[in-house]
Amino acid sequence: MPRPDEGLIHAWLDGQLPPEEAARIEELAATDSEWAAAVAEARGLVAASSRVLSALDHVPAGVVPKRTSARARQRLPWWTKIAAAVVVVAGGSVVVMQNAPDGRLPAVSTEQRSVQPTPDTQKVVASVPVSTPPVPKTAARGTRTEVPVATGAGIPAGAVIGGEDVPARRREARTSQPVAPPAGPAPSVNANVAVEQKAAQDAERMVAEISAPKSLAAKVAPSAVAGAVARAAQNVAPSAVQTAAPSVASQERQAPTQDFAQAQNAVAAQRALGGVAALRSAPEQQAVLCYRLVPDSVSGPASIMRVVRMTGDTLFVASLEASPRKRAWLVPRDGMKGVMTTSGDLRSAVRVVATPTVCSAP
Amino acid sequence: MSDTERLFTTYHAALVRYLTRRLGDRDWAEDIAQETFVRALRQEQLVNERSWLFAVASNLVRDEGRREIRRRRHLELLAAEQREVHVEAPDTALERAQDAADARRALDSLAERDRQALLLREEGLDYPEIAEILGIAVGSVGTTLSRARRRLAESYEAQTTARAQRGHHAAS
Repeated sequence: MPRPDEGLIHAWLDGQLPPEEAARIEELAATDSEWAAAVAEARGLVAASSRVLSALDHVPAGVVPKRTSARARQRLPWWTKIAAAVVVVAGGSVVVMQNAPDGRLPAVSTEQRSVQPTPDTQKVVASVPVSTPPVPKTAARGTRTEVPVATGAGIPAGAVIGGEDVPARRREARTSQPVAPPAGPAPSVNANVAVEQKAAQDAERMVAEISAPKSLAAKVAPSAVAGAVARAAQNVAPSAVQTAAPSVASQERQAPTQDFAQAQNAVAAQRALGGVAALRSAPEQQAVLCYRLVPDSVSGPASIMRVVRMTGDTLFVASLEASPRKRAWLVPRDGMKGVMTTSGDLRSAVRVVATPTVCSAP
Repeated sequence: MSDTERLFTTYHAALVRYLTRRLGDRDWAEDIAQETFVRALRQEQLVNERSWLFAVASNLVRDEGRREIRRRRHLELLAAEQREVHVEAPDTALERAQDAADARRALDSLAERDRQALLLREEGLDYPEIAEILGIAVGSVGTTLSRARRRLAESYEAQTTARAQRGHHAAS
């Protein structure tokens, strides 16, 4: 009895043998267990290879992320924006404090107190919408301290504001550099809200972690991150976050970025509330936040997938059916447009548009 | 129906599918198929139409592949980006895309002769036709195909297993 010949068996299965040879193989397969096993295996390989090759008929599309423009690549890193914002706020505060009597802010409304420091003159600009009276030539040609920076409401050069000689105060401020802290209520952290404070810190740390590596910050403006921290902390511990600047949080953001910041906020709050362990250990039925994913092309059916984890600029989402095979991660690009993959391999990814939504079937 | 129409109607779909599977790019496959039919029309007589068409298409792929394989690998993705083929839910599309990527890697792991024999057989070419196109003996086509099928299945299995493990590690 000859040993099974794989080539012969495949030729027989393909119907490529002459009739007499085919009859011989058929008899061997029917009478010899070794041949029968080889034939069964060959049948499986024929079917498997056909199935694998049929998968090639689905040509992936839209899997190459759009290239970042050279201009975008040259953007300053996110932390420089934060630093710039801090410098501007601190500088503005210093200038305002310099010109306020006894370190108190002038009693004017916010609209009337727009401060615009200039590095060379440390001028105080009152932006009250009134006409500026003509400046005497003698004064204009005088020393810098005598020149009126800008006069509103008819304040003459060298005037005393709030009972204090402005130029003199400026000179004094230059010699004594300590920067007064911005006026405002001190953080009201009570002992009985220690838990809330810790929760707020957790939220802040989590958002910092999210924005740390490659950072969203290229897409999420620092103000948005700060706003997310503030909102997350407010959701968790309202009394512990009065140090967060609401004015920063209220700055304008683009819609997709805002959506993503809100998503971060929600997960941050959930984590801060002690949901970290729950997120990691609980079954996936415990949804924190879901995304509605639609193909980034023609209108097609949507998938609702819930956020399982967030790391850097990557959202780990999973199907509502909790099928491990469908677990995927979404890399946000171009706002909330992203590529979605289960392996990180962009060649096998699909391009989607993701929108935060409630966790229910589409 | 003219000979040209008959030739096109009979073989175009199979030829494009064969080329698409081989190249991973339908646009490119259709270009090659078109060029193949153009050359067929220049022939006064074709003894074996099917084997001639697939042989010419294979030669065109090989010739062009030598020149432009690197450029094409990039362009095939860029071209795909312009097409709007996603009409199914993203998670379903994702699974299909993953399967296609695994299948592509598995097919790429085969030797060129094995790969070509497999794709030609999938399009229904018989052993003498495959032997003629590949320039091998008819008797060795069965051995070539059995080896190709086994390696493809094993490689595909390895790809899917590795992907599942990567996904598990990354998402856990």
